[in-house]
Amino acid sequence: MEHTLYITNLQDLEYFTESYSRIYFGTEFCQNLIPHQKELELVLKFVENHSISFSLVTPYVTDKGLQKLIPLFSYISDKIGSSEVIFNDWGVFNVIKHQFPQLKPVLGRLLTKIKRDPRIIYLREKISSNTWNYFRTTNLNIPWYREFLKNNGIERIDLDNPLQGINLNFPDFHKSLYFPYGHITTTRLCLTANCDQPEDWDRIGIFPCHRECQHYTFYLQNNVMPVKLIRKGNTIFYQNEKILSDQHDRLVYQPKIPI
Amino acid sequence: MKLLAPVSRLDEIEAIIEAGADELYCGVLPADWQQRYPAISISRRQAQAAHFKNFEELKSAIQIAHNLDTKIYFTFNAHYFILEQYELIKRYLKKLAKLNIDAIFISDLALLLYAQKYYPQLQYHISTGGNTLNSESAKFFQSLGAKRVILERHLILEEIEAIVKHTTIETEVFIFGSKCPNIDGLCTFHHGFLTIENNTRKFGNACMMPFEITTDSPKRGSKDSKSSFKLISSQKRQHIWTHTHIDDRPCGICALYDLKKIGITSVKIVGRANPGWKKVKDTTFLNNLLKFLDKKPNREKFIQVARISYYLTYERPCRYSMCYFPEVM
Repeated sequence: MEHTLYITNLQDLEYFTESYSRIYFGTEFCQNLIPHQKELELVLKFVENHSISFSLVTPYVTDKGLQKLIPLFSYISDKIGSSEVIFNDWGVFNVIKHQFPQLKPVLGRLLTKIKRDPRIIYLREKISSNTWNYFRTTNLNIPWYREFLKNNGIERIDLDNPLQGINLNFPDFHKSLYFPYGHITTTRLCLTANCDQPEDWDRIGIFPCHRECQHYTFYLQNNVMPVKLIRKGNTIFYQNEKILSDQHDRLVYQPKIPI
Repeated sequence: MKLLAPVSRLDEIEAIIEAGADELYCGVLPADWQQRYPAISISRRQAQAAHFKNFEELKSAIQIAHNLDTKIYFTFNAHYFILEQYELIKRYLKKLAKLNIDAIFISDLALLLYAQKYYPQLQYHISTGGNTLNSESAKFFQSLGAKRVILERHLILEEIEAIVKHTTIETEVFIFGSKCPNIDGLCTFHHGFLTIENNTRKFGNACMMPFEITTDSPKRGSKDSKSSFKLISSQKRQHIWTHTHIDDRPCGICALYDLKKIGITSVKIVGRANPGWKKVKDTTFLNNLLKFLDKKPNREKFIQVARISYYLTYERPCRYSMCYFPEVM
């Protein structure tokens, strides 16, 4: 089992211990949080000093976001050649495939389709085995889809750890499981951006970002939800401390909510 | 620029086309699917009102639309399907090919790969659930045989323009109805619990539920006032967020001028489950604005007319949070 530390900013390198053999660095949820090259350089230096492996984590993006990622891809290609890139947008994958074939694409957890609605755990006794199976399975159980991924150089799949459990019965891929935070939903209508501007209080939209998400975390409670939802920046997460699967070969540990 | 409108009943098709729809889209809730997967729709709508009753009815719908020289598309856009479901999926695709459907909306890459391989004669549109936010995604889907991409709702005009400028694929954007507060294809809340448990409070759509909100204690050195400031703000915005999906009149009409200039192929009205009179009303409203656009008004004049028309037609003012393209407001 490979143990990986997932960090979204440099300060979080303080969570590193010798038990980790890889660092995930970057963001999955917001193109405003894509790291600067200088930060990437420092993390790569840390990785080199500790003789560990590195993966760059990338979010879903607009064309502007793509333009922010391309220099980072160039940099890591030059610096470490065949680094992993976790992609959460097929457009990002397309850029890697055509412009940076030396990089190793990893299917990100946002593109690994499975329902994460916490209420699914209430349904166990109420639904047929067909439906329960659907809620615990991804489309990665489809052979021609896996074939497509392989033909495109994808050998590893990153996955969330939903409360209802997950079938990982596709032994032909490496699999990473994220722990303890899972993503439920994300938006570009960020409720945190500009939230300290009174004129914007009653609006939601795509605002200029001052990284307010780095300072505040909101908890959403409704007694019909079996767990508290966590809103950090533009994304809602759940926390799951239990790992029901034993078929993954990488555990991606998030010391903090990855925003 | 075409106008795409929803249909779900045979007796409303002619009226919607007459009201100005250039293209139609629809769905079916197959009985055998519902029996096996009652909480999961093949097209992410659980209400029967959003669908034709069966493929026989769809066949009639296609005939009516084609007799009026109008294309009709089928929604097969659940975010994902699993292998066990393909026994039924294969049957449905076979029927759709036989019925000469004009295009199929797909979100799931695995389904696109299958459908394109066995039915290359059909056309495929990537649903908003496929997450097209950039030109490279559009190129990716085009390379897999897609004819059109339906762009993610959360894009500003400048971002849409970048996609159109750098690609040759057809593009479609949402213009009216159902402004989802989340990125469609990346939202994993489940819609459809109500078919299992008739308890709206417990199993309604999570994005419409009220939540009690708390925040972390202010960090040392930060001002308490700023913390409560943000909490109030978050609560207000959360309230708007939970109402975004319920509100029945989200709108992006002021952007029609710019969308036409950008070169968007089609603009879409949401609302398969709406009653026929509302579908006709929305289609008429949009069609009148497109006709006005054909007269080449200047941008300022168009926006002015659009806003007045919205107010007069729906008896409500423009609201920032219900606007698809607030940058135009």
